[in-house]
Amino acid sequence: MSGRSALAVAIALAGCTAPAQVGARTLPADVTAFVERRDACDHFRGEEPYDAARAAELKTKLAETCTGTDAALAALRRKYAGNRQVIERLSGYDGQIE
Amino acid sequence: MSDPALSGADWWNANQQNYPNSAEIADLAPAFATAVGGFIRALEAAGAIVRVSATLRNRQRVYLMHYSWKLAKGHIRAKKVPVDRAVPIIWDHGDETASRKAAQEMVDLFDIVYEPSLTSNHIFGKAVDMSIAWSEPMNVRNARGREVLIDLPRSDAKNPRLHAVGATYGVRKLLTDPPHWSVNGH
Repeated sequence: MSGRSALAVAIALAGCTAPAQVGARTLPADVTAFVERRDACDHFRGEEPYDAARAAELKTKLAETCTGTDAALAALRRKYAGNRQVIERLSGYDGQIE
Repeated sequence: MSDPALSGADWWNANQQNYPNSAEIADLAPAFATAVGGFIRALEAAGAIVRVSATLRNRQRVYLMHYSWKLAKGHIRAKKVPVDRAVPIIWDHGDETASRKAAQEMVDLFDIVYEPSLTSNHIFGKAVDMSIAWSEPMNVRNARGREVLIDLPRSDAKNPRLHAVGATYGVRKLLTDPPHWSVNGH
């Protein structure tokens, strides 16, 4: 098999798996769970209430999604200190939001 | 703009109303304002009742909330708080404890529990909080000119056909926050 053919086969085989799933699968489950929760927290930290009902809703959502994430982020950064992909994925998160 | 004054409860009471958020479509980023306007017109033409609650967040208000929180928690020193020339506030009281106490007064008045984000789509005029209500099946014209039947569930947060129509206008639903729509679904 020529080098070009081998490359074509490799690309075809790679195409058998959806790229998005490849990325998701390579992140450990605890990291994926953290990312999902913290992204929700970061969204709600960008909202300001416009009435009493929204204020109550935001307080509930913030408590659900943000509480404990500073410690969780620090723990994941320690646990995966040697995993470059995980550390890069976590690099954009502020470590002191609580 | 008034002369700069020391941060704290007195500053907040005298100035915070100068930095209001908006609920006007016209205050959104131009392209997103056009998108939201088109979506709302189509909804209202089909019989929906739309109530817009929030559009553009005031950048100076966000600055005040973010840095009062950071300073109060000791995550930044008073001298290091960046200056916003549009906000006549002095964060540094000449004593770190006094600066933090004044910042905490503002945190309490803003009713902040977690660090306010500086990256919300609302700050860039690319998000809208609104409620959409309808009491009977309605045909909503999407941005491609095709009518789409929207009926059950009669919930703006849970109706995927409604969300799909919004997306044709470039107004995308964030599923985890009932009133929130934006340019990218975040």
